[in-house]
Amino acid sequence: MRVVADPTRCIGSGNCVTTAPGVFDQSDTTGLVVVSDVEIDGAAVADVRDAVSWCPVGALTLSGPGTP
Amino acid sequence: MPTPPRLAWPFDRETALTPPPEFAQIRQSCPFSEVETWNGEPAWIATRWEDVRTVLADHRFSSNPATPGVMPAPSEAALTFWQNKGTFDKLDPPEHDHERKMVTPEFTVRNIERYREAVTDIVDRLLDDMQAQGGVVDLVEAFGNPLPAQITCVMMGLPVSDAPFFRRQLLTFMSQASSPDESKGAMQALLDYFDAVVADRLDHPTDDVAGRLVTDHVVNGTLTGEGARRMLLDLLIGGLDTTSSMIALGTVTLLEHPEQLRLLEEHPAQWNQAVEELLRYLTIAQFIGSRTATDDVEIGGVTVERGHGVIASLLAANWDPERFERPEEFDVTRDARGHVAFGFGVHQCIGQPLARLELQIAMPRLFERFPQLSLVTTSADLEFNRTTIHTAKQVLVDLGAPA
Repeated sequence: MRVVADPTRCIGSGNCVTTAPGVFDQSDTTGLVVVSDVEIDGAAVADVRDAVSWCPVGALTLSGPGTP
Repeated sequence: MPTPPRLAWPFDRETALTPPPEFAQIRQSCPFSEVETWNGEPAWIATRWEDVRTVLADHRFSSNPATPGVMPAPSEAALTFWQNKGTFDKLDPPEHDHERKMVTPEFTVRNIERYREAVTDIVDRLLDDMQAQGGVVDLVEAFGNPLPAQITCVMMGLPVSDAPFFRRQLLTFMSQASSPDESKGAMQALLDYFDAVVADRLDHPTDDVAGRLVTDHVVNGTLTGEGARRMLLDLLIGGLDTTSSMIALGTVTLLEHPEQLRLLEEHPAQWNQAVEELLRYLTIAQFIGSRTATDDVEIGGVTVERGHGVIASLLAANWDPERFERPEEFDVTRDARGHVAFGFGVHQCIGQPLARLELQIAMPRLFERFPQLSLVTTSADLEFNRTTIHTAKQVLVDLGAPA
């Protein structure tokens, strides 16, 4: 499964960083989302699904196997 | 079928810490229905977690009180306050995003983590002061109010000794007991204060939130001095009553659920989860989430016409049994994440990593220091300020013997 972030929608709430810290990060200069690990598998899948669902601005999208 | 009379908004609470029963009634009968605000205007109210998120994430619903139509407010005072804010929380994209992004880097999870030691020091010093005083203390005054005020001073590079000034002016400004002139005077005093801060940073650049805002945005003209002082004041206001109330009412909630408190004593690693459950259960931002439709929008099986008002109730959403099973049960073992206590959409609280840090440090340390902590007055005796944020005037606790 892959996760893609749209920095033009991001407002830097930090929800994804708190929910899946190994996968998401925030830029020090803009505060906006940076995806450190695009390919998701194993234990990270559940956290990333939560992060996608809880992103307040719909800036995260899942694609590839295992996504609807 | 005749239309039932509209319920009057805001609803009264029957008990101090739980939502008004009207939310559950509406959610069961017609989850997206119409109410009547203080000035007789109709407004739609969303009570399901799903609908509340949908409204708050949809850019066709405006947060700007200048948008033509109804901006559903809980009171005339709240509406006047919103109309006079002039900061990004009352702007829509793209103007909102432009301003918010000027301070977004200050509130990243990593950057806020840098204040862990400062927060811990403030918390411990306040607990020392409480211990020295001993006996019965007002938790709002002794702990809830000073913590966010002081950490804000640290972040903005202001003298911590100015914290009581902020508290006093904000109290006068917000209090229903103040005359319109007193209220206006208090706001002016705060604006004057931040005016001086901006002027000072222009002359003497500093490496703090206020200094960076001035150096990076006022100097190059992307933000006016007026914009900067309003933004700094807004950041201050946003973090004060909110965090203070979570600490005070969170303590009351825990003390009234002793079996939950015991669980935390036995499993201190659960504290962060408990903080999320407190955020969900209390949802103190009781009147945040008012919007005006800028287009006809289909939602919850109805059409909200352009110019109509919508209340996306965070409190109702966080008590939606479809999302949170048995929402009326305060349960620190619950995974409460996904709550909307900080809002949803582009206006979601910018200070949430800071609020979490403060609560995750302050709450366990309070109970560690005072293991015999008990309530002098129960939640049934509390008196509340009728403000946008659910805040108690006073929370008296008996500290007991310190650990």
